[in-house]
Amino acid sequence: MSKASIGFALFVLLSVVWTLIWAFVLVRSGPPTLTYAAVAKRAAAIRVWLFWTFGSVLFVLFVLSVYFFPYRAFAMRRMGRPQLKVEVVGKMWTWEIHPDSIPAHTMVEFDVTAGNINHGFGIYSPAGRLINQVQAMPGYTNQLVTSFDQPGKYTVRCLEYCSLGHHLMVSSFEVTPKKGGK
Amino acid sequence: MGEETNTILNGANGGVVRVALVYLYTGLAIFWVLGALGLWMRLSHAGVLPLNFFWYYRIMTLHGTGMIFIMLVATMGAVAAILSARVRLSAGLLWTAYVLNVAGVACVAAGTLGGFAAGWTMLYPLPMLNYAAGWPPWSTFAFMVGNLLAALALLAYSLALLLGLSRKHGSIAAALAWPFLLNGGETRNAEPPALSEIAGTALGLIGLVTVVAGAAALAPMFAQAFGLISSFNVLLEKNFMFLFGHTVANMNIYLAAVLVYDTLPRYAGGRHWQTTRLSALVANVLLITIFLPYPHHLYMDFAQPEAAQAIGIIGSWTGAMLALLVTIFGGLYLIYRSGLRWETPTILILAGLWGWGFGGIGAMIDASTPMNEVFHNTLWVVAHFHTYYLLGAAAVTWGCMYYLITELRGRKESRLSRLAAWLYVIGGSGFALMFFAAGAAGMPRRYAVPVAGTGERGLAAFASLSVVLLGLGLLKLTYDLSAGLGAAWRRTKIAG
Repeated sequence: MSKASIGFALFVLLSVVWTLIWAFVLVRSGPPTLTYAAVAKRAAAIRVWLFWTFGSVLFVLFVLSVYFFPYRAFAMRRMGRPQLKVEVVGKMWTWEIHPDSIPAHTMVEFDVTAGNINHGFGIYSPAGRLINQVQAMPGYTNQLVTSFDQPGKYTVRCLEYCSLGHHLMVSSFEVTPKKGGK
Repeated sequence: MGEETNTILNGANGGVVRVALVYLYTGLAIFWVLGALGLWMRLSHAGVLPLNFFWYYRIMTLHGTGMIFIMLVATMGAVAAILSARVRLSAGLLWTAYVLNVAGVACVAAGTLGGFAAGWTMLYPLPMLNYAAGWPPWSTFAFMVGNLLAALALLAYSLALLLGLSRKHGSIAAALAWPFLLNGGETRNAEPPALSEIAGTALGLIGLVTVVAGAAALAPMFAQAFGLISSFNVLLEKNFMFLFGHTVANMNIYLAAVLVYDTLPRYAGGRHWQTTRLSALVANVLLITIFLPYPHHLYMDFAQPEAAQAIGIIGSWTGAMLALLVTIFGGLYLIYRSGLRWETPTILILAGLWGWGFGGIGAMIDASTPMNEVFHNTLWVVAHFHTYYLLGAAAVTWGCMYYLITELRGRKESRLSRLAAWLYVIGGSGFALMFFAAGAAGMPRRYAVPVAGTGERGLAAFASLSVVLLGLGLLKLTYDLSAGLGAAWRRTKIAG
């Protein structure tokens, strides 16, 4: 299951829970059987509980998010040093990718920059799923460290709007089976 | 000339209510036009009414920029009308803000129809490319002037809020309930400021800072357009642009919250949205937290300092949690066992609170960096802010507008009107959900054509049908509102 699918499933699940909470309150919004003071007292206790519960969950997720930062130093700490560098330059409206063939299961560093305006270097798997991205900015080199398990043709699409030819800015690179590997 | 009094008119605010009505009806009219352009983009992706990419990107730029500015106009109008019953606002400043804003939208329309198509966030240096990117220099200039005018409009409106609220409470600090907070929730006066007034003061101050951020974003581009500088730091400019853009968009939903504080209780068995130490404190904390989430737009700019990225996560989640625990949760317990009256404004305002959370769930997921790697600049982002607007700020604004008109004309709505409100909510939800699904499938945002394998064509078709439902609902509501305008307008002028 891809990261995006997990994100979507989580979104649907939480949205359903959210809607059920609303349904629960709305069906109990009718007869004024409780004073506002009584409701407010109960609500204050629930709010304290919600604060600590959400606060704790979000704190854990924050730590995880920082651990999984995609930035070079964090990525190398998790995955090791890159064994291959790929130079990427985004120009209106083409990609220059050198080399355009990458062995599978190899730590690779994409050094991504741009000619004169911002672009977005979006990598799509052979199955057509967006799996990674980094901005391509003039004057800066953004380093994306990653590896690919699955051999095949990976499509590159521009993910930062760059005017009329934006949707035509499509390229690809090949991930080859690792020598001696499967 | 005095005016009749009721819950909206206090005998002296007829002039302000009239300018507020002009804000609201202008907002609604332009919302229809820009909404139709939005539908055209979805129909184009569905393969029903294809747009060539020249026009797709122009319309996209016009739809996005115009909606941001005009929705703000509508919500600002509703806030002015609601607050004016208790706060003396300057009709002159409100008219100034209105003229500047409408002139700004006109410049944006002229620029985009003239070819400018850099998107509403117009990332530097793209706008400066002019012919190389596909548009004439005058269209860039018109678009930038449009942004400048909208920023000046925000300045005038923020001043109107701050002058009115500080005059009422004696100082800005008192309007922010600082004496109440510093005295441990006690005040020498009988009542602390209403929560809507504390939040209104905070938003006035936020408006001033946002204008400065807008000036910082626009100044280098104007300087380059006039040949004063040859280039500017791309990353710094991106920070300024998102600080301005994200905060303007956020201000809209928080202004809508001001409306909720004052309007929803009227339907909830006469309950009163209390100013507690917690709610007053959170309205003050907004002065800081509203500026913190914007770095989540720059997570994929790896050159941005990592501390800024961490602040983006903390700011996004803190803001969401405070909105959930104070405003949305406050709304839920306000209506619980309250004897809620189910009327058209109730449906739209409650939908606005629900939609704020619905969009917030999507936003919070995207605000985590590992998820942002697969959602950034896909239709997921478009999904979350369309949910915030259509089912958040806009729903509350139209609900409040409906309340204003029915109160002013003194007539209740029909069952059909309530059905129309539900249609708006159901259609809006279906529309937004399709954006979420397309984003999860990797469909890029700001793309003239659907990407094969993402299912975008079918999702856009379903989204278009949902928009038709929403449109039918809004059509009936617009009919009611139009039919009530004459009587409402006259009511503001009746001698008391």
